[in-house]
Amino acid sequence: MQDAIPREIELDEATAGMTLAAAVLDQRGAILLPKDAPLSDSVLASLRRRGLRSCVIWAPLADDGASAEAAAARALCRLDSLFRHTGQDEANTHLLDLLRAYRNGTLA
Amino acid sequence: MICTDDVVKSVLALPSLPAVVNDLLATMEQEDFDMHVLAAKITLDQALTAKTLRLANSSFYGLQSKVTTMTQAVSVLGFHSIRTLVTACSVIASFSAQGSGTFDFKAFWRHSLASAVCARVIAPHLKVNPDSAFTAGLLHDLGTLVLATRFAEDYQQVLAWQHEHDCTTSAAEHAVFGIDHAAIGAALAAHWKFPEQIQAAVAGHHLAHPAGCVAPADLATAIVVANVLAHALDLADVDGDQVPPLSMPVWRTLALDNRAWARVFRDAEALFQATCQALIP
Repeated sequence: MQDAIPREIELDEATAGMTLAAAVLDQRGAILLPKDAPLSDSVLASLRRRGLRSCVIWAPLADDGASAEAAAARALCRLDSLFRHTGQDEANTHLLDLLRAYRNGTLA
Repeated sequence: MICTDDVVKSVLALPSLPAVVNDLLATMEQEDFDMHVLAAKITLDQALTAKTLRLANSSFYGLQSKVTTMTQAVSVLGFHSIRTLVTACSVIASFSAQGSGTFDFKAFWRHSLASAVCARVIAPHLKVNPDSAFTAGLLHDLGTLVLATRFAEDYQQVLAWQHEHDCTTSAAEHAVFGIDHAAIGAALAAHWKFPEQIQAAVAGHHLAHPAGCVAPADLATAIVVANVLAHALDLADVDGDQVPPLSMPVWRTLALDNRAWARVFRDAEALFQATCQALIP
């Protein structure tokens, strides 16, 4: 699925129509549902009965430019916050520049 | 007021890890060991066996058929990954019974796992064994667990100090305990007789190298980098998180070009997601 990314969500947030991006396993490691299985109301009810709390689904990538731009802006803002105390450190500055480029999608 | 001696004494009073963990960690420094004997020992522990099978069956390994035995799991995961898993489970189990106010255990384990993943990804660039790097990354903040569980009330002061001064955890721990989690972790790693290279990595994960020197390409340097990367990539997703300082000697030792850094970032994020999925129920 090229236009989607795996995202772990609480089972309460999962709705019928979503698709699993990773297999659901039971406590013994046995596969309950394979990767790419569609979720339906009955499947979700069954997972809740088994006490599952979260699952990994395919989440669509932001398809309009505005929300992608907002996400990129949030990521850059977060980087500035994470590096707030390392302004003078040369190596941290290099790392911050690389991560900015990475978040912008312009790193090689 | 708790003094440094009290903290060190509490480390020595901690129970030993299960014998199988020490057996497994000892193999890190051995060239020849009997994998089958150790695999058989793990099989005796049902919880460990279940976790191991769960990891082998995770989507990360993309197998068509189901892994149902320890022998299959060893061939899928490799013995080194299983060693890491067993160590992690045992260390987690030895602390999980302690309640501790507002200390965020989930965030703690997310950062430990993130550091383990980053250590594995950065290891080849420092000519370090990736499996040893993963284990050391997972254990590098062990001292925090001692402080947060054995001195739960005093640790609230650390969290308050950190919040008030917007400083690193180490600085806040020094202010409250007069010692930080790296030193406590090193004492515990020695008490538990971890391999020396892991003890050194736990002790040195916040050490800054003097400006003019060259950082050695070793496990301790890999853990310094992994800790910084785990924070910088925001893998643990903690409010108020901050990236610790990274020294130029370490940067020069890494000597990665942009393409290599891009791959490190991508691999670390992908492996973190896959590992969380497998290890965190």
